[in-house]
Amino acid sequence: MPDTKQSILLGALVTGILGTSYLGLITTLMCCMNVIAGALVAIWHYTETNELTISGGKAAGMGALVAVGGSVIASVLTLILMTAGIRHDVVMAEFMLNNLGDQLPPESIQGLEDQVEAAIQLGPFFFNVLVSTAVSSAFGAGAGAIGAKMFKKGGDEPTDLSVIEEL
Amino acid sequence: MSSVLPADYPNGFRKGFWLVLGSVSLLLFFALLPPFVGESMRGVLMTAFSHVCHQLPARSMHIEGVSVAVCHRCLGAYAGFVLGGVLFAGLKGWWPVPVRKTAYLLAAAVFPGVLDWSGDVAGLWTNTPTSRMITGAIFGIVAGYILMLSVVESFGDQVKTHPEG
Repeated sequence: MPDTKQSILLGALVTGILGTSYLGLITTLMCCMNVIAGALVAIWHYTETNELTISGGKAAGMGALVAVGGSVIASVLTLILMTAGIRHDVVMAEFMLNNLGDQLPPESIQGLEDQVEAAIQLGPFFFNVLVSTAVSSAFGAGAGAIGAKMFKKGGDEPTDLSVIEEL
Repeated sequence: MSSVLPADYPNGFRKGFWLVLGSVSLLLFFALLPPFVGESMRGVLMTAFSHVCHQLPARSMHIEGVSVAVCHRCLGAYAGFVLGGVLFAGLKGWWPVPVRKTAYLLAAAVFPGVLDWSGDVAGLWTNTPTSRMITGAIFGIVAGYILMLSVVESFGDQVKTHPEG
Protein backbone atom coordinates (compact mmCIF):
# COMPACT_ATOMS: atom_id res chain seq x y z
CA MET A 1 0.00 0.00 0.00
CA PRO A 2 1.27 3.52 -0.78
CA ASP A 3 2.50 5.79 1.99
CA THR A 4 -0.24 7.48 3.99
CA LYS A 5 1.84 10.23 5.68
CA GLN A 6 1.05 12.99 3.18
CA SER A 7 -2.70 12.39 3.38
CA ILE A 8 -2.62 12.19 7.19
CA LEU A 9 -0.65 15.44 7.36
CA LEU A 10 -3.11 17.18 5.03
CA GLY A 11 -6.06 15.98 7.12
CA ALA A 12 -4.30 16.99 10.34
CA LEU A 13 -3.71 20.48 8.94
CA VAL A 14 -7.43 20.80 8.11
CA THR A 15 -8.40 19.53 11.57
CA GLY A 16 -5.79 21.70 13.27
CA ILE A 17 -6.64 24.96 11.50
CA LEU A 18 -10.39 24.43 11.95
CA GLY A 19 -9.79 23.64 15.63
CA THR A 20 -7.70 26.73 16.38
CA SER A 21 -8.89 29.50 18.69
CA TYR A 22 -12.22 31.05 17.57
CA LEU A 23 -12.50 28.68 14.60
CA GLY A 24 -12.37 25.86 17.14
CA LEU A 25 -15.30 27.37 19.01
CA ILE A 26 -17.35 27.51 15.80
CA THR A 27 -16.56 23.93 14.77
CA THR A 28 -17.32 22.73 18.31
CA LEU A 29 -20.78 24.29 17.93
CA MET A 30 -21.14 22.00 14.89
CA CYS A 31 -20.15 18.96 16.94
CA CYS A 32 -16.50 18.08 16.14
CA MET A 33 -16.80 19.13 12.49
CA ASN A 34 -13.05 19.86 12.41
CA VAL A 35 -12.14 16.25 13.22
CA ILE A 36 -14.69 14.80 10.80
CA ALA A 37 -13.66 17.17 8.00
CA GLY A 38 -9.95 16.44 8.49
CA ALA A 39 -10.43 12.65 8.49
CA LEU A 40 -12.63 12.77 5.38
CA VAL A 41 -10.13 15.04 3.56
CA ALA A 42 -7.31 12.60 4.41
CA ILE A 43 -9.21 9.57 3.07
CA TRP A 44 -10.40 11.46 0.00
CA HIS A 45 -6.83 12.62 -0.75
CA TYR A 46 -5.41 9.12 -0.28
CA THR A 47 -7.95 7.34 -2.48
CA GLU A 48 -7.90 10.09 -5.12
CA THR A 49 -4.10 10.34 -5.32
CA ASN A 50 -3.50 6.60 -5.43
CA GLU A 51 -6.68 5.59 -7.30
CA LEU A 52 -7.55 2.85 -4.83
CA THR A 53 -10.13 1.72 -2.34
CA ILE A 54 -9.02 1.65 1.29
CA SER A 55 -10.30 -0.79 3.92
CA GLY A 56 -12.42 0.52 6.80
CA GLY A 57 -9.84 -0.63 9.37
CA LYS A 58 -6.92 1.15 7.71
CA ALA A 59 -9.04 4.28 7.16
CA ALA A 60 -10.01 4.25 10.86
CA GLY A 61 -6.33 4.17 11.80
CA MET A 62 -5.63 7.08 9.45
CA GLY A 63 -8.59 9.03 10.87
CA ALA A 64 -7.37 8.54 14.44
CA LEU A 65 -3.88 9.79 13.49
CA VAL A 66 -5.43 12.80 11.74
CA ALA A 67 -7.30 13.65 14.96
CA VAL A 68 -4.13 13.34 17.08
CA GLY A 69 -2.05 15.38 14.61
CA GLY A 70 -4.81 17.97 14.27
CA SER A 71 -5.04 18.28 18.02
CA VAL A 72 -1.30 18.97 18.29
CA ILE A 73 -1.42 21.55 15.49
CA ALA A 74 -4.51 23.27 16.95
CA SER A 75 -2.92 23.36 20.42
CA VAL A 76 0.31 24.94 19.20
CA LEU A 77 -1.52 27.52 17.06
CA THR A 78 -4.01 28.31 19.83
CA LEU A 79 -1.23 28.71 22.38
CA ILE A 80 0.64 31.11 20.08
CA LEU A 81 -2.53 33.18 19.59
CA MET A 82 -3.32 33.15 23.32
CA THR A 83 0.22 34.31 24.10
CA ALA A 84 -0.32 37.11 21.58
CA GLY A 85 -3.42 38.18 23.50
CA ILE A 86 -6.16 36.53 21.41
CA ARG A 87 -8.00 34.85 24.30
CA HIS A 88 -10.96 32.92 22.86
CA ASP A 89 -11.22 31.04 26.18
CA VAL A 90 -11.83 34.28 28.11
CA VAL A 91 -14.42 35.48 25.57
CA MET A 92 -16.23 32.12 25.81
CA ALA A 93 -16.15 32.20 29.63
CA GLU A 94 -17.56 35.75 29.64
CA PHE A 95 -20.28 34.71 27.18
CA MET A 96 -21.23 31.79 29.42
CA LEU A 97 -21.31 34.00 32.52
CA ASN A 98 -23.34 36.76 30.88
CA ASN A 99 -25.85 34.61 29.03
CA LEU A 100 -26.08 31.36 30.95
CA GLY A 101 -24.96 32.33 34.45
CA ASP A 102 -28.40 31.77 35.96
CA GLN A 103 -28.46 28.16 34.72
CA LEU A 104 -25.04 27.16 36.01
CA PRO A 105 -24.21 25.59 39.38
CA PRO A 106 -22.17 27.85 41.74
CA GLU A 107 -18.92 25.86 41.29
CA SER A 108 -19.13 26.28 37.50
CA ILE A 109 -19.68 30.04 37.89
CA GLN A 110 -16.65 30.26 40.18
CA GLY A 111 -14.57 28.25 37.69
CA LEU A 112 -15.55 30.54 34.81
CA GLU A 113 -14.83 33.68 36.86
CA ASP A 114 -11.39 32.29 37.70
CA GLN A 115 -10.81 31.55 34.01
CA VAL A 116 -11.65 35.14 33.00
CA GLU A 117 -9.12 36.54 35.48
CA ALA A 118 -6.41 33.90 35.04
CA ALA A 119 -3.24 34.15 33.01
CA ILE A 120 -2.44 31.36 30.56
CA GLN A 121 -1.72 28.19 32.55
CA LEU A 122 0.19 25.60 30.57
CA GLY A 123 -0.59 22.68 32.90
CA PRO A 124 -4.40 22.80 32.58
CA PHE A 125 -4.07 23.73 28.90
CA PHE A 126 -2.07 20.62 28.01
CA PHE A 127 -4.16 18.42 30.30
CA ASN A 128 -7.23 19.63 28.40
CA VAL A 129 -5.53 18.84 25.07
CA LEU A 130 -4.41 15.38 26.21
CA VAL A 131 -7.79 14.27 27.55
CA SER A 132 -9.84 15.69 24.69
CA THR A 133 -7.52 14.11 22.10
CA ALA A 134 -8.61 10.68 23.33
CA VAL A 135 -12.24 11.38 22.44
CA SER A 136 -11.31 13.25 19.25
CA SER A 137 -9.26 10.29 18.01
CA ALA A 138 -12.31 8.01 18.44
CA PHE A 139 -14.30 10.40 16.26
CA GLY A 140 -11.42 10.57 13.77
CA ALA A 141 -11.38 6.77 13.54
CA GLY A 142 -15.13 6.64 12.96
CA ALA A 143 -15.03 9.40 10.35
CA GLY A 144 -12.12 7.65 8.61
CA ALA A 145 -14.01 4.34 8.42
CA ILE A 146 -17.08 6.13 7.03
CA GLY A 147 -14.81 7.96 4.56
CA ALA A 148 -13.60 4.58 3.29
CA LYS A 149 -17.16 3.85 2.15
CA MET A 150 -17.65 7.34 0.71
CA PHE A 151 -14.50 7.52 -1.39
CA LYS A 152 -14.03 4.32 -3.35
CA LYS A 153 -11.60 4.28 -6.25
CA GLY A 154 -10.83 1.05 -8.06
CA GLY A 155 -9.36 -1.93 -6.22
CA ASP A 156 -7.30 -2.48 -3.13
CA GLU A 157 -4.07 -1.55 -4.89
CA PRO A 158 -3.21 1.64 -6.81
CA THR A 159 -4.48 1.74 -10.37
CA ASP A 160 -1.59 1.40 -12.80
CA LEU A 161 -2.64 3.97 -15.42
CA SER A 162 0.13 2.94 -17.86
CA VAL A 163 -1.32 -0.59 -18.05
CA ILE A 164 -4.80 0.80 -18.73
CA GLU A 165 -3.41 3.04 -21.49
CA GLU A 166 -1.68 0.06 -23.11
CA LEU A 167 -4.96 -1.86 -23.14
CA MET B 1 -23.65 -12.29 24.34
CA SER B 2 -23.42 -14.93 21.60
CA SER B 3 -27.22 -15.16 21.41
CA VAL B 4 -27.39 -11.54 20.23
CA LEU B 5 -26.04 -12.58 16.82
CA PRO B 6 -27.43 -15.71 15.14
CA ALA B 7 -25.06 -18.66 14.87
CA ASP B 8 -24.82 -18.45 11.06
CA TYR B 9 -23.14 -15.02 11.19
CA PRO B 10 -19.50 -15.26 10.00
CA ASN B 11 -16.61 -14.73 12.39
CA GLY B 12 -15.36 -11.49 10.79
CA PHE B 13 -18.84 -10.06 11.04
CA ARG B 14 -18.94 -10.85 14.73
CA LYS B 15 -15.55 -9.26 15.40
CA GLY B 16 -16.43 -6.08 13.52
CA PHE B 17 -19.89 -5.91 15.08
CA TRP B 18 -18.65 -6.16 18.65
CA LEU B 19 -15.73 -3.80 18.04
CA VAL B 20 -17.99 -1.04 16.70
CA LEU B 21 -20.89 -1.67 19.07
CA GLY B 22 -18.52 -1.74 22.06
CA SER B 23 -16.81 1.49 20.99
CA VAL B 24 -19.96 3.50 20.34
CA SER B 25 -21.61 2.13 23.49
CA LEU B 26 -18.59 3.25 25.54
CA LEU B 27 -18.82 6.69 23.96
CA LEU B 28 -22.48 6.94 24.96
CA PHE B 29 -21.71 5.59 28.44
CA PHE B 30 -18.97 8.15 29.12
CA ALA B 31 -21.12 10.98 27.76
CA LEU B 32 -23.89 10.05 30.22
CA LEU B 33 -21.55 9.44 33.17
CA PRO B 34 -20.86 12.95 34.63
CA PRO B 35 -23.99 13.14 36.84
CA PHE B 36 -23.07 9.85 38.51
CA VAL B 37 -19.44 10.55 39.47
CA GLY B 38 -17.55 12.86 41.82
CA GLU B 39 -16.54 16.39 40.96
CA SER B 40 -12.95 15.70 39.84
CA MET B 41 -13.94 12.80 37.57
CA ARG B 42 -16.81 14.90 36.24
CA GLY B 43 -14.31 17.62 35.34
CA VAL B 44 -12.16 15.13 33.43
CA LEU B 45 -15.18 13.79 31.50
CA MET B 46 -16.44 17.26 30.65
CA THR B 47 -12.94 18.23 29.46
CA ALA B 48 -12.67 15.06 27.38
CA PHE B 49 -15.80 15.93 25.42
CA SER B 50 -15.16 19.70 25.34
CA HIS B 51 -13.47 19.59 21.91
CA VAL B 52 -16.29 17.65 20.27
CA CYS B 53 -19.33 19.47 21.70
CA HIS B 54 -20.23 22.97 22.88
CA GLN B 55 -21.74 21.55 26.13
CA LEU B 56 -24.03 24.58 26.60
CA PRO B 57 -26.08 23.83 29.74
CA ALA B 58 -29.32 25.15 28.22
CA ARG B 59 -28.93 22.70 25.34
CA SER B 60 -27.85 19.67 27.34
CA MET B 61 -29.71 17.01 29.27
CA HIS B 62 -29.50 17.22 33.08
CA ILE B 63 -29.80 14.33 35.50
CA GLU B 64 -30.48 15.40 39.09
CA GLY B 65 -29.37 18.92 38.19
CA VAL B 66 -26.04 17.87 36.65
CA SER B 67 -25.42 18.18 32.93
CA VAL B 68 -24.25 15.21 30.87
CA ALA B 69 -21.04 15.69 28.85
CA VAL B 70 -22.63 16.54 25.50
CA CYS B 71 -25.58 18.52 24.11
CA HIS B 72 -28.98 17.06 23.17
CA ARG B 73 -28.10 16.70 19.49
CA CYS B 74 -24.78 14.96 20.16
CA LEU B 75 -26.44 12.67 22.71
CA GLY B 76 -29.06 11.75 20.10
CA ALA B 77 -26.29 11.07 17.59
CA TYR B 78 -24.39 8.84 20.06
CA ALA B 79 -27.54 6.85 20.80
CA GLY B 80 -28.09 6.69 17.03
CA PHE B 81 -24.62 5.19 16.50
CA VAL B 82 -25.60 2.32 18.81
CA LEU B 83 -29.02 1.89 17.20
CA GLY B 84 -27.52 2.00 13.69
CA GLY B 85 -25.08 -0.76 14.62
CA VAL B 86 -27.81 -2.94 16.10
CA LEU B 87 -30.00 -2.29 13.05
CA PHE B 88 -27.13 -3.43 10.81
CA ALA B 89 -26.97 -6.76 12.62
CA GLY B 90 -30.77 -7.05 12.54
CA LEU B 91 -30.72 -6.69 8.76
CA LYS B 92 -28.01 -9.39 8.61
CA GLY B 93 -25.56 -6.93 7.13
CA TRP B 94 -27.74 -6.21 4.11
CA TRP B 95 -26.89 -2.87 2.56
CA PRO B 96 -30.14 -1.40 1.20
CA VAL B 97 -28.64 1.55 -0.67
CA PRO B 98 -26.11 1.40 -3.53
CA VAL B 99 -22.68 1.95 -2.01
CA ARG B 100 -21.93 4.76 -4.49
CA LYS B 101 -24.73 6.76 -2.83
CA THR B 102 -23.16 6.75 0.66
CA ALA B 103 -22.17 10.43 0.57
CA TYR B 104 -25.68 11.49 -0.52
CA LEU B 105 -27.25 9.36 2.19
CA LEU B 106 -25.05 10.96 4.86
CA ALA B 107 -25.85 14.43 3.52
CA ALA B 108 -29.56 13.59 3.68
CA ALA B 109 -29.13 12.37 7.27
CA VAL B 110 -27.44 15.62 8.31
CA PHE B 111 -30.13 17.74 6.63
CA PRO B 112 -32.89 17.48 9.33
CA GLY B 113 -30.41 18.67 11.97
CA VAL B 114 -29.25 21.56 9.80
CA LEU B 115 -32.88 22.51 9.10
CA ASP B 116 -33.82 22.32 12.80
CA TRP B 117 -30.81 24.44 13.79
CA SER B 118 -31.06 27.03 10.99
CA GLY B 119 -34.81 27.54 11.49
CA ASP B 120 -34.13 28.29 15.15
CA VAL B 121 -31.28 30.68 14.33
CA ALA B 122 -33.40 32.43 11.67
CA GLY B 123 -36.27 32.82 14.15
CA LEU B 124 -38.69 30.72 12.08
CA TRP B 125 -39.30 28.33 14.98
CA THR B 126 -37.82 27.38 18.32
CA ASN B 127 -36.22 23.98 18.38
CA THR B 128 -36.72 21.78 21.44
CA PRO B 129 -34.65 19.16 23.28
CA THR B 130 -36.79 16.51 21.55
CA SER B 131 -36.27 17.93 18.07
CA ARG B 132 -32.54 18.26 18.68
CA MET B 133 -32.23 14.69 19.97
CA ILE B 134 -34.34 13.22 17.15
CA THR B 135 -32.44 15.04 14.40
CA GLY B 136 -29.16 14.02 16.02
CA ALA B 137 -30.36 10.41 16.19
CA ILE B 138 -31.33 10.39 12.48
CA PHE B 139 -27.74 11.28 11.60
CA GLY B 140 -26.38 8.86 14.21
CA ILE B 141 -28.37 5.87 12.94
CA VAL B 142 -27.20 6.37 9.35
CA ALA B 143 -23.59 7.09 10.38
CA GLY B 144 -23.58 4.10 12.77
CA TYR B 145 -24.90 1.82 10.02
CA ILE B 146 -22.24 2.96 7.54
CA LEU B 147 -19.52 2.71 10.18
CA MET B 148 -20.55 -0.86 10.99
CA LEU B 149 -20.67 -1.74 7.28
CA SER B 150 -17.18 -0.34 6.72
CA VAL B 151 -15.59 -2.07 9.72
CA VAL B 152 -17.31 -5.44 9.14
CA GLU B 153 -16.12 -5.40 5.52
CA SER B 154 -12.58 -4.63 6.63
CA PHE B 155 -12.67 -7.88 8.63
CA GLY B 156 -13.12 -9.65 5.32
CA ASP B 157 -16.85 -10.28 5.23
CA GLN B 158 -18.51 -9.10 2.06
CA VAL B 159 -21.82 -7.42 2.84
CA LYS B 160 -24.82 -8.19 0.66
CA THR B 161 -25.63 -5.10 -1.36
CA HIS B 162 -28.44 -3.65 -3.36
CA PRO B 163 -28.32 -4.91 -6.99
CA GLU B 164 -26.98 -1.54 -8.18
CA GLY B 165 -24.28 -1.50 -5.47
